[in-house]
Amino acid sequence: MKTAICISGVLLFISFLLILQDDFNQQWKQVQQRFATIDENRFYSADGDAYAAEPGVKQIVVSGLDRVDRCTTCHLGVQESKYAHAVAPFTTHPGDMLRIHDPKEFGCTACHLGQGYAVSFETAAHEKLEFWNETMLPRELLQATCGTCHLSEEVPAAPQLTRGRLLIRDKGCSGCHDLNNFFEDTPRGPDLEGIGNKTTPAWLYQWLKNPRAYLKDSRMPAFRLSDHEIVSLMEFLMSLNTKDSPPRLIKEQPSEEGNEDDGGTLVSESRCISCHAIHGRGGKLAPELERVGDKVREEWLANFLRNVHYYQPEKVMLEYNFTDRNALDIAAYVLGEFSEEAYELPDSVEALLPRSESQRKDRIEQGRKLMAKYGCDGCHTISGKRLSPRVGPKLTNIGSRLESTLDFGKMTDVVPTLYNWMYMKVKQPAVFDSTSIMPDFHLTDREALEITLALLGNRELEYSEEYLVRESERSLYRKPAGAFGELFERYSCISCHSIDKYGGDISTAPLTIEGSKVQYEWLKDYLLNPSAIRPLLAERMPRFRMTEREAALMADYIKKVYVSDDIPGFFEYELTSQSADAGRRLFMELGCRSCHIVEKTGGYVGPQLDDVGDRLEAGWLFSWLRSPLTYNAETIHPDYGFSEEQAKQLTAYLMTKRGAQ
Amino acid sequence: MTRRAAGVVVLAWAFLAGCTEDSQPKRDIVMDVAAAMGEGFDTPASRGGELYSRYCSVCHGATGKGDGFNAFNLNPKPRNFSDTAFVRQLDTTLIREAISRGGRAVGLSGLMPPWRYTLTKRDIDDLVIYVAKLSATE
Amino acid sequence: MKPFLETWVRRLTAGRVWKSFFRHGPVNTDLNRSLVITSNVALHLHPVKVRRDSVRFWYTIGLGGLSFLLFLVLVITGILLAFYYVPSTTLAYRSIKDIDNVVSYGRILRNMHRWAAHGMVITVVLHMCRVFFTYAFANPREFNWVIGVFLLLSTIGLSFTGYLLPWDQLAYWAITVGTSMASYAPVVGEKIRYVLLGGNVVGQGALIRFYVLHCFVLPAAMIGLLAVHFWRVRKDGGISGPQLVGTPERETVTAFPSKSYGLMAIVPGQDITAERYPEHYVLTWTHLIPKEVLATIIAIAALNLVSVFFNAPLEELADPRVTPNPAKAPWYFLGLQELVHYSALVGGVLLPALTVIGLLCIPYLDTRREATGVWLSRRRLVPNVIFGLFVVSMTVLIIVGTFFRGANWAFVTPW
Repeated sequence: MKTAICISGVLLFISFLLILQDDFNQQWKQVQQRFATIDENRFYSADGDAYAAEPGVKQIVVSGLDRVDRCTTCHLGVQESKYAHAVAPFTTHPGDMLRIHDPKEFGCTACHLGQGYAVSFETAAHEKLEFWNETMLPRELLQATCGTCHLSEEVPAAPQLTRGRLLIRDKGCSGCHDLNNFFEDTPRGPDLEGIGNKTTPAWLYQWLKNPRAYLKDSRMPAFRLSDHEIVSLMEFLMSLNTKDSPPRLIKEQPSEEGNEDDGGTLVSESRCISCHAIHGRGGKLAPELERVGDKVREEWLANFLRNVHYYQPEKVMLEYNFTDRNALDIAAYVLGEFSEEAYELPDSVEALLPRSESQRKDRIEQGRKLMAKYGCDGCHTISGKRLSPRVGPKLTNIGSRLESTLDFGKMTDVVPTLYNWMYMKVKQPAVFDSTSIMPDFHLTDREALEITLALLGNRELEYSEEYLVRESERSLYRKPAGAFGELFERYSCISCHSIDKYGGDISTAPLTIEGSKVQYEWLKDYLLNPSAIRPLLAERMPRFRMTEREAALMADYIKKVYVSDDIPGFFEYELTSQSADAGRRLFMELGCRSCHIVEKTGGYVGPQLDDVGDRLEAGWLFSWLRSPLTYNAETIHPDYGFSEEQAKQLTAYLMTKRGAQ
Repeated sequence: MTRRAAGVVVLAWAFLAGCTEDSQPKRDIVMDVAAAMGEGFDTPASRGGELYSRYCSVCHGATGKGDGFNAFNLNPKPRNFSDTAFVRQLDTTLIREAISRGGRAVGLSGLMPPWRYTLTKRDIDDLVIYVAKLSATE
Repeated sequence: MKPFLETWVRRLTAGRVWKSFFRHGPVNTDLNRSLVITSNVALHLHPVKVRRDSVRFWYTIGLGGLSFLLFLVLVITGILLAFYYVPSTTLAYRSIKDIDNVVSYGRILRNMHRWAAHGMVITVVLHMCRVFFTYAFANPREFNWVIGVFLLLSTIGLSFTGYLLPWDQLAYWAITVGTSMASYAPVVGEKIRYVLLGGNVVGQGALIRFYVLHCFVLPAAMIGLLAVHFWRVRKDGGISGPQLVGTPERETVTAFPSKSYGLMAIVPGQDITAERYPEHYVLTWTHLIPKEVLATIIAIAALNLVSVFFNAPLEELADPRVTPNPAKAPWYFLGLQELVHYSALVGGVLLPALTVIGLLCIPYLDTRREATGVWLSRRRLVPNVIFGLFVVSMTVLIIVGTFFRGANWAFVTPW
């Protein structure tokens, strides 16, 4: 008995020793010992930072993000630039992110994920860890978590995330899915009321079958519809033909044929190409016109051109002051020029067409149901109304979806992570489930990756409001008051120009401070008869055919309202010929002609400057030269760091450049 | 200690798994795609690439051959960065100086503007990395 | 050296201070061995002498003692864990993570608490089986069996309430499933569940209730019941054993000085006659205590080793929106959950109720006074077979429920 007690006593002793060494040999203690050997200064940080000063478990408590992060227990050098070349856990955090997001305020796992409570490599969920849902994000997807706090659409320091979000908006994902509220929920496609008058069943058939066959950059995704379904939808759409009384109706059978040559002149004069691409060249705002002649009916097009905003209440396209004659000419030109061969229904589809009125009614009813089933009205309203609520699942918390709930279907050879699942799903919506109604968006690898990344950050976590960055400056569009407002909408200025960051980006001239930039006379003339300021751009201001009175009114309003108080309205310096000469020397010395045309020679990168003295205000030139980035963050005009004197001289020189002389 | 226990479990699992099925390596699709994009993804070189195509390519050309569309207009012609021998004899300080203070500051063409007021120090660092790479890839 | 040491030991043990601690002399005479037992509060749980039969290891397998030892371990580790644990739904999980990750020896402590708790449920059940199969609950020990049944219920109650405290998915759903089984009872079922949870779902109300039950109410009940249990063992003449054979020594003790001590007063004396079988009794100090020490050492060493190598489970933070499939009750209820799968009424109400009532009634129904203190006596074939079948079938059901049930409670093989 005594021996037994002695032996088991030894065993007990050993078991306690094991417990002791288990605590002594904890991974983080070994790591810190290793750190002490590579680093002469041991735990004393360069700037006397207190939290890194002593050995032991280090933690950052971030109550606003509901996190306790002990990563710095091993990652001891993250904030010390002197460890830039140190080995794995000790190395300095790359980039300057920690300067923007101080770890003391943000911790680590809010961005990187992983288990902040843990103090060993395995339990910190550097790799997939059982019973921990936040596996650390791979570096490639790191920008995803920016999106959890940054709820504004654009996050400048996270370009992939921003591109992903813009793609989500551009592809119209929010038509079917409830996304975070900053993804606009506006219809992406045209209203469908009246489509029966606009086009033909044969065109509709091939369009529904494969939109890209008609328009290779089509925004409409492919829905994998059966011929049977297409015929139903086609019948339903063709039944939408009630919108037939625009205010300025051109008779259905025009008495005189349009003149194609006149139409061609009008098309080029109106700069349709600024928005509509033709043969691969031109703007991307509006659909390509490559084969539009095989799509629309001539009389519909003529009526459309006369009454654009009747057909298009959202007023994206401007309404030219076309006469009936103009409209007929253009319609004739477009149908003749932009067409290859007429679309025809295949015989097999022909056989599916309804034979009686009652069959047709059934088909129409089926079509209406299919419309709702596939969520077509997520993008296309009918008389401004939606038929059904969103058909896709809510995605505001998709980034928190548990991997255990993902169905990979037959794709068992894929690492079953959420990001792989989302990537495959957006790239090829039917990949896991052939019955999925989600259409194919024909995304490139990069697009799919960026959308995946953006969605991955959509998480509803209990973060304190102070950490969330919501949509800030973007002001909402307000129609300007009075007669200017009417004209402003009629010519759809906002489709190309932006004001206070709202609006289109086709024009290189935002209107926010346009009044401080340009001279009144020039502006008025330009509105009447726009000339090319940047000849290289395909997107140019169209000729609106506006009246002189309208041009004067608009120029007047712009000069008075769209101004900046920071730009001197009148120039206080004397523009002497002396300083103009000095300016000219500086201009030539700096090689400004590399990009700008002056005295008939120079490059095409920047606007030509030969009539700049007629065009721009001296105060604006001066302000712009001093600090171009202030006025346009996107500009590639270098900031030369001009002194006041130099800017003054250059301004004096440029103001002598008058086209009339 | 847990690692030891884990080791035993892993061994046991490996044994059992060995008995039942051959587990083939799975594809990590997104990582593969990101790797295939390589440069295209968010690395210093790719940020440099974005800046390059934005600010430099008009004159120096998309691939650095000195054949940007504005090059016709310039005399002297812009540098050809794909000329490995040429770029190698430059040191990065010179490239950095030329970008930040302009051609004149390093005794070269004054048509190259200074970018130090336009770009941040980090932007210029990224650009230098990218320019050095242009010669390496050709 | 040796004489020097002995001198000092003698001086020390002869001193007044030492004498004030220990009233007995060196443990080398039977008198002193007896005094060790009677003068030590812990050891005084034992009588000076115990029956030779009852110290045979294979008679008790030390299960009762082991259960008590595990209870002590649980109390000590539990107190230490309670220093760190916060019974709030927002902080509970985090405090467990802290205990596991950064509290010194915290992970080991939690592992010990967890494995000792599971171990105690097992040893208590096995102890009950031992008592049944040796017919140790026969008269006069019927009531101690009843106490034992309540101790079993307290043990399960402690384990069940402790299950919720980590506030992880495992805890949350085990308790959700476990308490929903209670709601299958007709009429009062939902009320019972409501009272248990302090609400309709497992939430802060349930957590604080379970915490109070686990840390205060049930341990107090346990200690009270244990006191009665041990006291009754002594009062019923030590633990059971087979019928003593041989001629007893009759001894008549005359109370001094012709008085006897009653409960509340000194009463007129009477002679007490006792039957003694001196050859059947042995000294506790020499025969029982070493065995207990050995068992304690082995048990604690084993627990240490298990706790070093195997971590107590801790799943994801409790999330009412994410239901694991299958959601399983704590393992000792899986037999019942398996039955609930076939019939909610049987598994959730009838069987548990009948089991408890049946266990309480056993000593009053099974009253043939024969073969007491004999393992699996052939003369008690029928009750042993019935009880054995019950235990085996519950065990099989638990094993099936634990290892052979997958998503949607479908049959799966664990390999």
